[in-house]
Amino acid sequence: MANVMPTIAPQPTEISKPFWDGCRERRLVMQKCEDCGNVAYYPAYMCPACTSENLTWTELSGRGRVHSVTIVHRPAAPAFASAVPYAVALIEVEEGPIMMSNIVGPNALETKIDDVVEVVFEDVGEVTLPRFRRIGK
Amino acid sequence: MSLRPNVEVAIAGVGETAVGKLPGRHSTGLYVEAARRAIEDAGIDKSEIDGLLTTASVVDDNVRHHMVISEHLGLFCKTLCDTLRTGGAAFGYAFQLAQWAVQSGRCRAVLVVAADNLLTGPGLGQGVTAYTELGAHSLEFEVPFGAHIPGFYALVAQRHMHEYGTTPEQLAAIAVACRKHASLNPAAQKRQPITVDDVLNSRMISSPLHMLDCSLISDGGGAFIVTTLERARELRARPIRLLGAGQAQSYYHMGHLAGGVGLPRDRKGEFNLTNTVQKVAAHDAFGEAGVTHDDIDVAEIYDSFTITALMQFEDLGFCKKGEGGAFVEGGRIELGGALPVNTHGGLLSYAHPGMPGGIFHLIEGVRQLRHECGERQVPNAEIALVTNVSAVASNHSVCILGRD
Repeated sequence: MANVMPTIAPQPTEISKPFWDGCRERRLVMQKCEDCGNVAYYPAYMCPACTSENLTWTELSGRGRVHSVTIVHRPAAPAFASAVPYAVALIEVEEGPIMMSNIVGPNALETKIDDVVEVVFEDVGEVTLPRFRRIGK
Repeated sequence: MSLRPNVEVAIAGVGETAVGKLPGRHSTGLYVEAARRAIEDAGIDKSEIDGLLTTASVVDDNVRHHMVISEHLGLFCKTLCDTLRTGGAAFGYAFQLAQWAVQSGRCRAVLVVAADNLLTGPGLGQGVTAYTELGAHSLEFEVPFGAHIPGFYALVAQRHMHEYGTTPEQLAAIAVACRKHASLNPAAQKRQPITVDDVLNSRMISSPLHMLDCSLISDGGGAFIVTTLERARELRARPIRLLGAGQAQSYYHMGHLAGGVGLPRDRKGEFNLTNTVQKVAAHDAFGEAGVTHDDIDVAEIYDSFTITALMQFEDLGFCKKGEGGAFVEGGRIELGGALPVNTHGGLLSYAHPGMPGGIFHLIEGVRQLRHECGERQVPNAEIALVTNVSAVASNHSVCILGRD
């Protein structure tokens, strides 16, 4: 993909591997607690709401709402220098958790809090990152 | 072992190195210099110090950092000794640990010291990158998206502006006040006065935070010594009493912080990006001190970014939630105003060497209550409030100090 935003690649762990594998398959998955219904992010060893270990990887809708957003002008590290300015956002996904990501695509730099967004999966080298694009207000 | 809560503790001595750009200095050398100055200031015999707390160094880290500093200071046998990992919030926390150690009788005197060469150590201009690449945040779930510390606080600021109508001009008023005070402090790193327009016209780092909304990157260090009030009264410097202290920690990962992950159902919504657990720390500190907000003569408020300070006026209870913007306008927080803030210049204009930044707020609180601040002295200051914050508004300590 041309002009894809770079990354400092994450290193999946025993607990997070299903999340990153899901991204590679173009599926946003998180763990749902079968006892209390809480959806956990980032990947958890036990439900942080009720302590249950009865967690099931579940595919999400991929839609959410912007909880907050900033346009980064000073890159975080040399790896991101070619990408500035870029949008870093906290996305509240429909199923509850709040995750950090980027807003990409048309008018990403005009993103506002409460904008409705949906996940897009971007291959960056060896890793596939879940990023988001705006689909409405 | 039991606490003797009727045993009051005090700061018996403080010391700091020069701050700013100190090329060629090693963080350990800065540690030793700050510690030696505090020992000298207190006039205490080194053999009386049986507690040591450090905050490591981003530049020259060691998992047993407190041991390295012990060796350089010649402090052989300690009954409290550790490297604190509470970052910028470490000093109120360290003060409280020292208080408990002294009140329990397990320590006679505790030395708290912090230094680093974040400006020149990693190479000029590389401090922010060093923090990012060292994993100041989640290397797996935040760093891959190009987030950095100014960006994290920018997310907080955007949310605060969205919820409460806070403006960039109000944020800038904090930077202006800090710089005004730094202009009166010969030791400060940045002393040229600035205006609100200067802040708004400075380079955008991460919206809405401009360069002048962001703290400095510096070299330097500081130290203080805690002992009983009774012992401090026998020493050289005027003791400054710890009237009350509180601390509270939430989460580092921004999604957890914003969502209040793990909060019991009946407390959901109590804490989020713009409502921090500093409320808990403040409640404990004011409760222990038995003073009210009107009693505070001077406040040294942790100011890693302008938004960091702005939200604290709300969470500390100086104004209602959402009114922090209006609170900082009109010179209220400047010398001569109702609540002079960051009289040394703060992290925004005095110095911010990384981990040690918050120690200067505490040292300035002590110097204000000793009435030795010259042009920047708050007249007749009797009670000071000092805050430390780290990990994006998630680690908090609050201390209330009193002149003996």
